[in-house]
Amino acid sequence: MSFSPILSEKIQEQLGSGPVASKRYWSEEYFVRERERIFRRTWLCVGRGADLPNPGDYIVREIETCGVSMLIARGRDGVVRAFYNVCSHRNFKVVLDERGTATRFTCKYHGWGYDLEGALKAVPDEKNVPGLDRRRCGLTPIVLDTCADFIFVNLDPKPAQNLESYLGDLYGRLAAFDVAGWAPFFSFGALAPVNWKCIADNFQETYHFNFTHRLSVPDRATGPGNAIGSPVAFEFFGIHRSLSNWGNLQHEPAPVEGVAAEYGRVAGRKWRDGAQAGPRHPNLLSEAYSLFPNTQIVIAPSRMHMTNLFPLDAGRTRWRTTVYYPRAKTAAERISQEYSCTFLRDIIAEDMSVFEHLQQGMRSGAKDAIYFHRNEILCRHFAAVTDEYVGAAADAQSIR
Amino acid sequence: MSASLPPEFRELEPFVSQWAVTGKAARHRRRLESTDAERRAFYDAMLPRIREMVSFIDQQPINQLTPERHSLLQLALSLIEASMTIEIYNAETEREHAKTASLIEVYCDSD
Repeated sequence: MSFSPILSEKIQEQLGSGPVASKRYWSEEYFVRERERIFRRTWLCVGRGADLPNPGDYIVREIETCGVSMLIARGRDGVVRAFYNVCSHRNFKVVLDERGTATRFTCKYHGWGYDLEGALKAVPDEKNVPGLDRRRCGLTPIVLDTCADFIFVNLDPKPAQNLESYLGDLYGRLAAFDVAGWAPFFSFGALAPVNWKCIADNFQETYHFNFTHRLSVPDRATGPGNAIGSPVAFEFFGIHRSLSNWGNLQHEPAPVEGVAAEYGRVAGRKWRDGAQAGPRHPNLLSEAYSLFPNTQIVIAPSRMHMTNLFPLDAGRTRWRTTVYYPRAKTAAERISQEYSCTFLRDIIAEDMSVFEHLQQGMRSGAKDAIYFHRNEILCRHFAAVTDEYVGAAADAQSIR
Repeated sequence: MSASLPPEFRELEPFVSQWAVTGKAARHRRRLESTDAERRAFYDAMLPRIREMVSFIDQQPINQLTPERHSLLQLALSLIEASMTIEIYNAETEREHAKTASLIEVYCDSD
């Protein structure tokens, strides 16, 4: 008997069931509209406060899609702020490393210095810089807000919506995650020769498990009664969406896998009853939240990871995944975390192996549409939302 | 440089120079640079002792491990990399893994 998550007929009906135009995954014109109407205007999740836990800690994030280098710093007051990483003097990049701890940011070019709150504090030979008004020459701020320690920025200086209304019902869900004190453990990524939405789609469907992941995922997230690893639930939160992964409780672990699982059970947590998790299910393995536009957050009882996608153009995407855990108190716990992180990294490496072939096929123009399996309903939803943002809904209709 | 191991685990000494390394990225590199035979020999020597090793390490708080116990922990963490190539993959799929893994950049590493 095949296993199918319950999906309301209303959603099915709204999203339709026909083929979907494939041009949106390779058209440069479509990408330019995404850049201007999505990446420059919506809230982008770029990390967690835990990435810069103490006053003076900073990180630099490149939003290459928009050509923006961004400096995020925790001030002496403990507040996290974002700035364009650009000096007021000759517009040089102020901070050239990717993270660190500082009391002041000093530009390497001519030595102008800024404090952690972005104010201009030092100008060598200041008396010979005519017309300088220090108060107007601080670092240029970028709009930043947080939800449950997740850091969001918006390149629109006057966002159309605040973060809470942008996230809608997801706001409360993220706020209920029980991850206080979890720290970044490992962060990795690559420049992939593929459209950013293809990576997002790959991570929001389970239909590829038995093929792309033929040796790793089957029998763990597929199994008796659920041969293709259908999620236990799909949820929709306006423009955002999630799926809940199914785990095979009968899986017989291999030896080292079993040791790690045993230590994980001792150290690990169970799904908390109540508001945290989405729909409860005995086989619930993890919940994967896709935040429009370019972030996925996957939460399991003792692991969380976040993937951010930044397209350079229609066919290239810089992706980064960061894995978070509670701080290990024992070697046993450390080993369970290392195993879970290693397994995740290897699965993502398997996903990477399909990307270039996917883009080449799409770009060839051989096909003008793609077909979605029922399990790919989140991809269909994502396509509809993206079309709406870029104003391409009418084009998309014509293919059906 | 890795210290030698506690007397109870001296027979694992031959694996220290190859596998007791700091950082997840470095342990992954050792996996990618090793031969099938090297990984198998390491896995076969480690597996029967792993639970005993972990109990031994956990006699000390994790942030105050002696260098010998720390080397032991690094070996245990490297066992995980080696196990992926034996328990999950086979020689052929491990080669596929190595090909895509070489494209991965690491931005923030664990110890």
